[in-house]
Amino acid sequence: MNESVRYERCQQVQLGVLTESQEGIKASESDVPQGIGNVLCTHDGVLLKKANAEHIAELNTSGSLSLVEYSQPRRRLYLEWQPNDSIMIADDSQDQGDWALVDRISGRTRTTSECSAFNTKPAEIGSNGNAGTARARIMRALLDDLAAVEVRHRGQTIRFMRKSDHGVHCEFFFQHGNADLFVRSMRQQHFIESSETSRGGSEEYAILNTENQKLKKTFAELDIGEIKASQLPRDSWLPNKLAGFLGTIPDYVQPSFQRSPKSRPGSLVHNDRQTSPSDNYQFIKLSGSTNSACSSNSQSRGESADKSPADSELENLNAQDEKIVNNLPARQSVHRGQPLNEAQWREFQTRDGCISDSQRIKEIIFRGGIVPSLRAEVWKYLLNYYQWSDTEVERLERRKLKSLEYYKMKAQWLSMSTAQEANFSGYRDRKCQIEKDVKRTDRTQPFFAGEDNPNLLLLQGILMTYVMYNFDLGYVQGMSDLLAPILEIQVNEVDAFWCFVGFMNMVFSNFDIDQAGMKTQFAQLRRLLEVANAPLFNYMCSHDSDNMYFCFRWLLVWYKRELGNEDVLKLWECLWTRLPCPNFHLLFSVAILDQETNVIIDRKYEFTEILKHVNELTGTIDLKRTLETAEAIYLQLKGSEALPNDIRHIIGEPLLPPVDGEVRPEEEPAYSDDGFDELGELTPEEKRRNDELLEEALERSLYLNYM
Amino acid sequence: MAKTYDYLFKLLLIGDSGVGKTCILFRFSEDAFNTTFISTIGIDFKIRTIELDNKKIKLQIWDTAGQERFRTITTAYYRGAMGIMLVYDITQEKSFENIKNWIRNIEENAAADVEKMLLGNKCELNDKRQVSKERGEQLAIEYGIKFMETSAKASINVEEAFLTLASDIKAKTEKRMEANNPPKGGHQLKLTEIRTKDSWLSRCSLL
Repeated sequence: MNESVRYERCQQVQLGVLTESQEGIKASESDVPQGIGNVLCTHDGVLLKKANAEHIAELNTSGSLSLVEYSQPRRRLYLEWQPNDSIMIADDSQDQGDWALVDRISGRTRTTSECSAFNTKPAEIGSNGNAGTARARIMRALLDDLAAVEVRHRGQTIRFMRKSDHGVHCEFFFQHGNADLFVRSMRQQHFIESSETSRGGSEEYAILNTENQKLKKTFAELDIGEIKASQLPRDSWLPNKLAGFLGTIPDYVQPSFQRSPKSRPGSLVHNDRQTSPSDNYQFIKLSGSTNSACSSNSQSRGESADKSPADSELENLNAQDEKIVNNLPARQSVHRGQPLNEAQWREFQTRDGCISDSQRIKEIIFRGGIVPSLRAEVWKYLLNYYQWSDTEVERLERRKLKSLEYYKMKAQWLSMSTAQEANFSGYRDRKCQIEKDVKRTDRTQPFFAGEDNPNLLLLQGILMTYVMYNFDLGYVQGMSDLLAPILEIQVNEVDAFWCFVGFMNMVFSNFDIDQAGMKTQFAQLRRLLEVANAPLFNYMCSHDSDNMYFCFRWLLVWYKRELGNEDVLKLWECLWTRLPCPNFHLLFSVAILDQETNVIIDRKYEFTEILKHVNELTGTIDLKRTLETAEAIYLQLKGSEALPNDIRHIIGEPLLPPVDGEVRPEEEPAYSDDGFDELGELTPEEKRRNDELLEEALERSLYLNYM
Repeated sequence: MAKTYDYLFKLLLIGDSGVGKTCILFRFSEDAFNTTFISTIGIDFKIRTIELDNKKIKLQIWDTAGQERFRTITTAYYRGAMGIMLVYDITQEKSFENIKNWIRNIEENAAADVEKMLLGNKCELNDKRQVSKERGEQLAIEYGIKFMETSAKASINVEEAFLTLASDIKAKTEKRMEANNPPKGGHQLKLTEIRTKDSWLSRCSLL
């Protein structure tokens, strides 16, 4: 599999880096801390939950967690956890063995370099009798080898991430109280710096290396540190003035909330940080959660709210800002219209077959969809297969060229030999996944129903050809859902393919390897909800549900699984017009949630119930009403004068003039024409050659089909 | 509001795409089998309450999308899982080979003490079998977990598998609780110590 290959390669590099850094710090016996360290902060009653294999025997044991400074052989900061024998469970060895099973396995995956990198080898510390054993039980990690701290479960669990690969180095559970004091103490001493909050309840801090600790202290003395150290991650609410002021702070000490608006709404990992001078910050990559989706989640940790004065100061600012923003104009009533019909369509066609007023057509489609008989034709325009300005002759030519291109690509996979396939795992995996999914796509639709339905072969063929067209993306689950309705309308496989390509160009990022596109959308959706429906947003924040994960299926396949087939067609054609704004599909989510607000709040739904409720909305969503609500919400946002720039960016409104220091979000890349540029530049000779190729490809393709 | 159950266990179904996770869940929760398949997008769960030794156990079973691409999303749900069903398809060698990757995934994302079980599904398709029962058993022994061959379609062993997993979790839970409440009140600190040993156990008693 492509990803796994990448992953392994990546691992090797990381191992290399690890070895290098070891050499760099001369991780030898002489480097093991000696003498008595100076304890900078400590907390008792802390269970070791996860650690290197060496510490299996200590898992779930209580002890004290400390930050210790050793001066011998040189000044170093260590994170230390030491079991506390007085509260050890007397005889639990039987049990321990049973529970340690898993860890014995995980132990295998660890490399020796990893073990030694953290000085956790008992042998290195001491090997004489009892003293040695006791010392071996101490879990110690050089703070410089750790990248980040993650606090979760209402502050009861704290995790430390390795710098080498951002994996979990160790995890602790605070039995008594929570990790707040410990974290606060580390923060105040500038060992760590708040990076971002993650999914509901969890918070993350970047561990500063020695150099930065000094820098931070210096800045703290200059009194800017107060703001930075507090760092409620309410980035986007920061009034421009404050943002501008902070913008003058050198990049390498800039708090994470003052990030460029472009990276702010979604980005899970802020790699931009890693390229900053001398690689000061390591932002952790948290698998499965959107750090991103968390700009203002102060409520979610309500129980452990120890706020510094600067925290509350920021909150006041936020409150003011919120007041302005939530002052949206009243919701107007919006009405849907009639679908684009054949008479109208004819009126827009010029004598040579061009479409005269595409903007007006899109408006009609946005408001009412398209009559079924016109769909096959008009979709080709909406999906950028045909150009509005094409004459009929040009259209025929385009179609011919595109057929040629399609069959060429189709012949590529059809002619793949068994041996080739056997040696091409990336291809095999994609093919295998397509075969699995074609069998279970829209089988209740008459077009795909029944055993040996030939349309399934078409579906498969188009998806396979798409693999050859875009091998990097290949095939990802959900794509067959997007293609099926298109094929059903187009019927012709070439037309369906190019329409599908157009659709994929709009939603490409949904299927990204790292799911970055989905994460961005969760973050954007969250922001839209925050502004458009504050009560629900606040409720979700306080119930750990503001990560928006429950909208995953909605966004991945554009509500395909939520609506009946006819409604899917209608919704998609509306959304393809990209009217009234980009990301209208997100406003559709906001509208659905808007309609469910009372149910969610009144019934006191938690995350699981919200997910269940949302999943069960399938088949109950009133398309017309929801589209009206979505448009009404759009008009409200558009009409709001104090709308923050990040929201303006999401809904494609002109941005307010930036205050000094504020970074303007980059404009969205223009909608690509996807390789149609070459049209009209062919010499007669090339045309003739193309025709020949087309015929040849068609023949080959037909022949192969019957093989 | 009165509780309608004694325990709530969160379980997870994982394994390659198309091995029959959703069908297993549907068989267990509705005792039915739908021949119109549909791939799972995102994540969903079903609930069924069972009874074991006079204790009502509510099982909340999460179903995930199998394709590797979605693991960043699905692994978010590993947390807090008390039991995991690892499913492969006996007619698909690859899905069996991938079990070790899934195990690795669990180690990285789920609690260390999560109870696991291996299921070889579609055992009614014996003529298409690519993975022998012995190999399944062998792998399970290697990982020290239980194993069953199941058929969601023919309703073989699905009920048994969930009951086994639930019963193992229950035993583990009760063992902890027992240790938590010795006949004569023991050392207070020790009690707290034991109660918080399992991240989910404490949550379990709060439900």
